[in-house]
Amino acid sequence: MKISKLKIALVLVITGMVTGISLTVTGSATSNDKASSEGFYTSFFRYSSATGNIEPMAESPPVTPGLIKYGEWTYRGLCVGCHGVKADGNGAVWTLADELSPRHKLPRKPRDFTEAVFKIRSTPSGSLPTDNDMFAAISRGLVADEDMPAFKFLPERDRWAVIAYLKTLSERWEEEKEYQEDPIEISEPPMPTGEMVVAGKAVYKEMKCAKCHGDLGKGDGPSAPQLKDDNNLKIAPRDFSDASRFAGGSDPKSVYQTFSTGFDGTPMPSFADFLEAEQRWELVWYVMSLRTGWTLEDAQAELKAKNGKNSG
Amino acid sequence: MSNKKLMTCIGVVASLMMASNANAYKAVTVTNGGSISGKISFSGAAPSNPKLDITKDKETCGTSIPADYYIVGAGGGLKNAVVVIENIEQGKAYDKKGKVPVDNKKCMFTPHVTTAVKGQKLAINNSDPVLHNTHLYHGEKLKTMYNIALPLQNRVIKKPLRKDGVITVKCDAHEWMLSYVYVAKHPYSVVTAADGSFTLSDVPAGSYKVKIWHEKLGESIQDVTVAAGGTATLNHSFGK
Repeated sequence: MKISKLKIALVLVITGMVTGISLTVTGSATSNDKASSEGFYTSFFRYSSATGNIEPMAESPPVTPGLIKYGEWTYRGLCVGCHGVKADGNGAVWTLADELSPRHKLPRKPRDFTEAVFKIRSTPSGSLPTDNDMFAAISRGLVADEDMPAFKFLPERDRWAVIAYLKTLSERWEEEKEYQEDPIEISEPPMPTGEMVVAGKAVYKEMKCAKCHGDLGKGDGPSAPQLKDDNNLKIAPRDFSDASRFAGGSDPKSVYQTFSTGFDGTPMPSFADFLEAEQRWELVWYVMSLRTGWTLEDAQAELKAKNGKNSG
Repeated sequence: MSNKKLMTCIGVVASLMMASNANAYKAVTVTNGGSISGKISFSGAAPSNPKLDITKDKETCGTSIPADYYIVGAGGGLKNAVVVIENIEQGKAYDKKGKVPVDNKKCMFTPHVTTAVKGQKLAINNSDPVLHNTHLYHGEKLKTMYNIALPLQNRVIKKPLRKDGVITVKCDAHEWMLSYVYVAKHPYSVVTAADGSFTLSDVPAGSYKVKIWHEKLGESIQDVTVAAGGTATLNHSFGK
C-alpha cells in the first residue's frame, strides 16, 4: 500500500516537472496545466516528514565520474523544477510562481548549490555539511518552511549520486577541504526531569533566545519582524509550539544540533561557543516543553521506548 | 581502473596541486624593499551619512546613531578605504596566528573596516549586555560564512577567515550594524587613517597593480612601480 502510494507520488512528481517545463516553453497556462500542477504539489508534500535524521543503510558508493553523471541526470529529472537548470535555486517553480500559481509560491528560495551554503548541518557554523547530513536532508525534506519534499522514496544509490553531483557545483568543496570541521559531538539524550526543564528555562533566558523566538517560544520576539535570510527575504523565527515545523528535525538530538551549529544562510546563529553539553540538554528539554500538549511523562515514556528499542 | 585513466587522474591532481601552489603566497626575507604610500581622498562635498534607525535595545544602543560610511577629514582625506596589492606572490612574513579584533560596542562594530590575511582569525567580542550575533558574509552576493551568537558579554570568540575578498559583517539582532573585513592572501593591505593616508612597507621592488576599495565608493586599480629602497607614491581621489 505504502509503496504504491510512493510510486504515484513519483509519477506525479515527474508529471509536475514535465508540466512545469512545458509551461516554460509555451509561456501559457491552461486550466488543465494548473490542476495537474496543484496535484503534483500536494502529493509531493504528503510524504514529507520532519522527524529525526535519516541514516543511510550503507555508505555512499565510490564517487566516480559515472556516479556523478548519474547524479546529474537524477537531478535533472527530479530537482531541476525548484533548484533550476544551473542549480542556483532559480527553478521554474520558484521563478514563475508569481505568474503561474502565487498561492503555491514557495516560502523560501530553493537552495543555491553553486554557493554551497547549507542550513542543516552536523558541522559547526561555516563548515560544509557531511555527506550524511545531505543524505538526511534529501531523504526527509525540509518541510518546515521551505517545502523541500522528502525523497526517501528514491533508491539510496540515487540519493548518493545526487550528492556526488551537487558536490561538483561549488569550489567550496575543494577549496575548504583543509578547513573542514568534524561534526559536533552529541551524546544520547539524558532522561528529562522537571529540574532540567526549569534549568533549561534559565539557559533560554541567559542565551537570550527570546530576542527572536519570544518569551514563550512563539517566534514573536522583538527582533522577529526584521529578520531576513541570505536571499534578503523575510524569515520568521521558529514557533516552538508546533513540533511538526522544526526544519532541522524535531527529536531531541536534532534540536541540540540546531542551536549548536546554527542555520547557515539564515539569522539563526550557532550558540556552540557559549554552552556546555549539560546546559544544551537542559535547553533542548525546555524548548521541547514549549510544544502544545507536551508533558514530561510522555517525553520520558517516549525516550524510554526509544532507548529500549535501541538496546534491544 | 585502466592505467591510462589512472595516469589522467594523476595528471589532473598534479596540475591542480601546482595551480594551488602558484596561488599561495610565499613569505621570504625582503631585503632593500620599498614602500607605497599616499593619500586617498574624496573630492567635492562629502556625502552625508544617513541616520541609523534604532529600533530596540535603546538603553544600550542609544536612540540615534549616524552611520559611519563616509568619514572625510581635512583636505578631503578619506578614512576607512582599503589599499591592497592585487598581484604579489611573495614578500614579507606575517603572523599566521594573528587575530583581528572586531568588537560589538554600543550596537556598532569597531573598527568599521579592517584588513586581515587569509587563514588569520577574527577575534569577536561583545562589549554590550545585549544579544548580538556576528554574521559574516562573503562576496557581493552576501552568502553566509559564519553566524555566531554572542549572548554573553566580554567573551572573545575566535573564528578563522577561510576565504579572501570582502567579508561583510552584520548582526541580525540589530539590522543597522555593519562592518567589513578585507581579507587578502598576503600581508600587503591597509586601511586608510583619518586623514586618508596609508603606507604599505617592505614591498619587494617591482611593478604592481594596487586596488583602492571603499565600501560605498567602489574600487579603482592603479599601476605602481616600486624601486628597491624607494618610496612610490599613490594618491587617489574618489568623487567628481
